[in-house]
Amino acid sequence: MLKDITLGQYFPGDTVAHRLDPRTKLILVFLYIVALFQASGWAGYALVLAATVACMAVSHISPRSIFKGLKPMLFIIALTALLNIFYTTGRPIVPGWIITWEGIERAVKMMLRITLLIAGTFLLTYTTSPMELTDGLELLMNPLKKLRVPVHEMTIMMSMALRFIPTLIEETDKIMSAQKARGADFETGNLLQRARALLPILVPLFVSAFRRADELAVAMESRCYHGGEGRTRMKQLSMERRDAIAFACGLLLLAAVIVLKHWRL
Amino acid sequence: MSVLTVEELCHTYSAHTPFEKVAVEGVSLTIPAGQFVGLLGHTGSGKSTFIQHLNALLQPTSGRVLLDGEDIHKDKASRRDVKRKVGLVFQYPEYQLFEETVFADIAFGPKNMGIAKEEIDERVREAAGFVGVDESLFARSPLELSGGQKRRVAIAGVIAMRPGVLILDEPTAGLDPAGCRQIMDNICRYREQSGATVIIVSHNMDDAARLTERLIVFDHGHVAMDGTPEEVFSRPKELINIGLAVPQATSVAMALRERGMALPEAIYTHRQLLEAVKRAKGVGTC
Amino acid sequence: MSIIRFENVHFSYPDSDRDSLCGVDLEIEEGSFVAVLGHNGSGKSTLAKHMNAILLPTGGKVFVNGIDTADEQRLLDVRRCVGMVFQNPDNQIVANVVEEDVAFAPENLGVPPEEIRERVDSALRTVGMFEYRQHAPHLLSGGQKQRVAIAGVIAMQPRVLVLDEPTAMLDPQGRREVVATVTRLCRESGMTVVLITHHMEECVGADRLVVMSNGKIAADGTPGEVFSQVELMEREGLDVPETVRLCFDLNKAGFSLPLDILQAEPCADAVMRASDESPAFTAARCGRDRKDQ
Repeated sequence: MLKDITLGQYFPGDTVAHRLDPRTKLILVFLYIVALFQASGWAGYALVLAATVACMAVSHISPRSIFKGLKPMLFIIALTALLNIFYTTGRPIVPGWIITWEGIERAVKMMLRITLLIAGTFLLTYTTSPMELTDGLELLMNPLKKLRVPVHEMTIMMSMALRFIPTLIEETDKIMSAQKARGADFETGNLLQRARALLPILVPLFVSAFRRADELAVAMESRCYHGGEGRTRMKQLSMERRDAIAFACGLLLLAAVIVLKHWRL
Repeated sequence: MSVLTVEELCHTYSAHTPFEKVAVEGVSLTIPAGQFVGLLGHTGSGKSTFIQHLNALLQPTSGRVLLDGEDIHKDKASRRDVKRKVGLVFQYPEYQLFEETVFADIAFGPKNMGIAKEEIDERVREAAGFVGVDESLFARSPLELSGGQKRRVAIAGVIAMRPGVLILDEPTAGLDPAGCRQIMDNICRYREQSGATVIIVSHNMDDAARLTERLIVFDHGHVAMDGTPEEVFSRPKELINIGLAVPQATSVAMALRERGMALPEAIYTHRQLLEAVKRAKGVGTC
Repeated sequence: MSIIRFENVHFSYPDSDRDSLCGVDLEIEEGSFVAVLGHNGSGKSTLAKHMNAILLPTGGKVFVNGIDTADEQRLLDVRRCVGMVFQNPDNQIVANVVEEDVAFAPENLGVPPEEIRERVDSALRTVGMFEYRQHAPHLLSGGQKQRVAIAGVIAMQPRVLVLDEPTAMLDPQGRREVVATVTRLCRESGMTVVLITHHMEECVGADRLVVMSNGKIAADGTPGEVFSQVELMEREGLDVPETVRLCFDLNKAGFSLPLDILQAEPCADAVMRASDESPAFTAARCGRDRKDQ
């Protein structure tokens, strides 16, 4: 079911990870991604994996919810792994075979890299409400305002999109059921036929999305929305000691990974 | 014509997860051909889940649904087949309209059934006639119509499949009193002329009381009451305990009874109340 | 003093050749609970949208707290004074967390953070949604969502709350929640409430009932006064409460019952009493003996 998609979902909680400043978390995720792409040996991967597990423990996010979020990506992960297995040259497992030891190693590493990449970003969205996330982004990008980049507009658009994902998913489910009840068939036929079969879902979905956008704009104006000028925030972001500690941990992780790479471990 | 039989139907959402929720539990009933049934119950009572089983949109966790004695989940063909025989109109069906013209939208269902072009034409005209959509609207975009017209076009889209059982989930939700009356009249006319079984899910007690032959009350996934409107509305206190409203005439009758007026047990329409009060007062009998 | 004043307001939508409002004069008293009833297309929603300058009159004037709504300079003052709740709860909630949504309006107004916190908590308590402050709005029931929307508006501390068919998409339970909430807001906090609806049972508890028809005011008075005009209501395609209908039809049979009773209990009292008091009743008995009870 579409409802199972957990992308962009937020699990309210009160752990250290939840209380960290969103800006800190955004920068940490950035450091984490850099570290992940710097890791080359098994030791490096093990270190990043350990860091991920530690973060999961700190934020009380179960591996299960991470795996649930991974589900829609399984296809991409599997495809990447397969390509790596078949297209890496090196020592064949069995003489004459196309599959090589190097291929398997690369496939496993690629799978790990993608999985950890997704897990890391999930940890961010699971522990940070979309509002905080966009606030953090807006503040981080604030210097860009001087270059006339519409930072506030971009972030408010992002938070609206996140707000409406669950609503639109629910709506898609409903429209699909209604069209199925009218005998629509989404499961058989060639690619073209299947693409055509999506029209009865996409058209009503777009119509409704436009209607929603229209009504939402009026509702926002009625609540005195007039752009970012003169806005205050209920939740003030402030950097605490824990943010400094988190920064230090992030930098440490990156440094350790680079050192390990240097030692070819 | 079609007889629906439901045997020990259970449905659990998200089974074996922390979000597990039993929506329907142990429901058994038979709906004979041509009956006009009202399904009552508050939001979350399981009635919406229940109706989605009747045309195989949902697969029961356990139990069976039989249409004319055949299990509708027997194979893929029967699952497809049942969608033509049991038409389901969802809540706010106007949100499913998508074709460029009203005609094409009403024709979508019959087209999916693989019906010949001439017959589609005939069916669309017939269905539009039932719901009072004028042929002058056929070339218009369904999105340009008024709310009530859109609703009626969407209902016509299901009627055009000529289902032997027509199920409507809250067909009057969000409409004003005039729009409600019009839709209910359309449905009654379809039933009279086609002889189809009609099942309607409703929050509107007054409609349910006035029009249906049988009321099934859902509560917490179970059937709490099942009988004629007379039988169900002669137990108003039970309905109130379930958290449902009773028809206005019933509440006035209850207040009169409490004050010692001798009224018959089942009063649920204005006419019944008026006649009963007149009789009790000794007027209007001449 | 009236907080909202319509002076001969005309309005037509740009692509329509017909007036949606044709010459509406209306004054709304501060602190009152006004229900506006009418069928679809009667102009009741158009009327509502004039109260906080979402629409501006094409003829005539609307004043909110003395401010002409057409004065662009004072648009924010108008909107701050008149809060608006709409039909579809999903399309007016802007945030993923209940309390952050309620904070939206005060944030827009530049209220200091500590005060926003206080306003949000008090607004959520007023609508009975405080325990849900950390919840995701899309997992709430329709009635709960609509109460969050009401909280989001009253956190702005408006003087008038206009609700444009807030119950049209709700089940009976949700409808009761919303009507009870706004009634309490009016009675306890003195908020002016304008409730637009097509459910006549929601108008019963209002101070004043305005019936709209073809862009004009067709009836205006206490709910009792308006509903007692049964023929007019029928002409407008609107329902009247069963209590009124019963008394109306009994009167046709010779009784003389009052037509402004809107609750079952007092209606039953009046019907019980009617037999002995009404001289018309005796005449209508046609000389038959009363049945034993």
